[in-house]
Amino acid sequence: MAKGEKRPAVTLEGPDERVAKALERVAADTHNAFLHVARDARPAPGPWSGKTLAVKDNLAVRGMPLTCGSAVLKDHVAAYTATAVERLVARGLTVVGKTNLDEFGCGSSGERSAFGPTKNPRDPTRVPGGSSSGAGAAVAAGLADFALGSDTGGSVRCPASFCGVVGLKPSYGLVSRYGLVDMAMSLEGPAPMARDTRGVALLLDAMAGPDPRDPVTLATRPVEGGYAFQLEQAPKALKIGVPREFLQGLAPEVERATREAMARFAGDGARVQEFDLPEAKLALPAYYLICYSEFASAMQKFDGYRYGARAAQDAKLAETTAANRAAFGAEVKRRILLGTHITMKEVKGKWYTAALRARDALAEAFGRAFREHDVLLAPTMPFPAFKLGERVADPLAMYAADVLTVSANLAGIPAGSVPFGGDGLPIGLQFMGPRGHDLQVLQAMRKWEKLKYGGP
Amino acid sequence: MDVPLDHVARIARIALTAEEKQRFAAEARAILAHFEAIEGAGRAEPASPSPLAPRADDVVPPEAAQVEALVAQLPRKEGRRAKVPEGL
Repeated sequence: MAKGEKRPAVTLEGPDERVAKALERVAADTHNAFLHVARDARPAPGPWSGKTLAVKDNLAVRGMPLTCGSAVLKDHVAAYTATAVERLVARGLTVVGKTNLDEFGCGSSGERSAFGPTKNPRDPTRVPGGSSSGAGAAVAAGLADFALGSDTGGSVRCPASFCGVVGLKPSYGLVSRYGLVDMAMSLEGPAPMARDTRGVALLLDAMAGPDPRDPVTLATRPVEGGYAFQLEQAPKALKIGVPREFLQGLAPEVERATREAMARFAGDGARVQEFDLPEAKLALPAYYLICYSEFASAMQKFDGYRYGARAAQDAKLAETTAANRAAFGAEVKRRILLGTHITMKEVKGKWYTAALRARDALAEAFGRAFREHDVLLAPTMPFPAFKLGERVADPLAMYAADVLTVSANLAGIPAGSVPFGGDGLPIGLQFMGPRGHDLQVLQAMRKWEKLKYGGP
Repeated sequence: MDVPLDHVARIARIALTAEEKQRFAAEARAILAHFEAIEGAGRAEPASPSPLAPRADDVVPPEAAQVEALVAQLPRKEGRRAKVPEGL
């Protein structure tokens, strides 16, 4: 600018304009990421006023629909707000809508919603990943600044990987599950998504902490200054372990990306070691068997009386329940049937108890691994986003997609997905840490962002 | 391994069509066959179904005076029967 020349006027957008524009974008959503738009939303007061939040439609927001992606709950409206959402709104985030998901969280592709599949903003012919499909797509498409999903077996890390955004599954018990419609209560929890690691760290700062309404929340000491404040403090000589079992059966581009990341970390001074974790082979069956059992139990309340569409006024209990549960989708029915079967006393020992034993063995193996390594590195998904319709008819092919993510839920440890970066379909790198050491995972994720893109 | 689907569906309160029965039976067989690797896994007895034990809050015994006040509110007994105010 020449001396004496006047600077052009700059108009800064206030919170009102920012939220209004975000709502326009959400209303014009072409990815089927949102099921409900909060049309009358106004900026909430607080330090983040004007920033927007998309909430997965299995988390309660008082006065808004809560469908869980199911026809059974199509008219249900939440009577209270989930603790995690409450804490984010208290910081000034505005909820702009509820996002699409696989019905009750049962899916890894985002195709199993009763309200239609979500499309991947990076390639609309491909799946966005699930079950937090709409949350991932909303952040990737710029429809919301942040999203709150839930992660039971990879439900936030999978869409983060497929859509090229960041997602964190916090340690079990770090974030209250109050207001989250349960799918598998010993595995799940609310989980933040954002465009970068700093974003998920900020959300975690707001959400983490004990809640008397969720008796398994951890009474841990808060991280000094907060997760976002300490994000850059990763040790230079990070000790990174890579389980060999997590490098098997990968698409070539995913294996290449993972090995490049290992080399980049080693070049930066980290100690990167491959090691054997044979218990990882038990993770997928253990996860699904436990998930089926807990899911079948959790779904008993959807009987047309306590929750769900009610049959005719004079219908008998059995008729009402049958009519209500007939509206479940195929995967929900499959999981309820299998969960009911494997917990019957005749076969419980063969399946459910064996799965609990495998879970213990896996958790112990992770405990041993973390005595040697600060964090574990692996790909998030074995392949990039696949085409819509490619796997939806084959439940085993769909389950196989979760092979790298379910271990963290079984062991209750924190795990985050961060984009590898570069051209082509997004690929996610996954970092896992000891339970309660979510900061270590976030620091490693941030370290990768700096290695890949530079920056302060 | 065959799943007794009619029996399971009745317990689960899910009405299945003939087509669904056939499909779910085949899928359940394939899924459980795939998960048989779980047999004999791990140690003898599982520790807990949850990775975390539920937090037990301290039980605070009430003050003696409070106990007496509560006991005073109990209905009077007449033989084996409790006498309650009229209208209840």
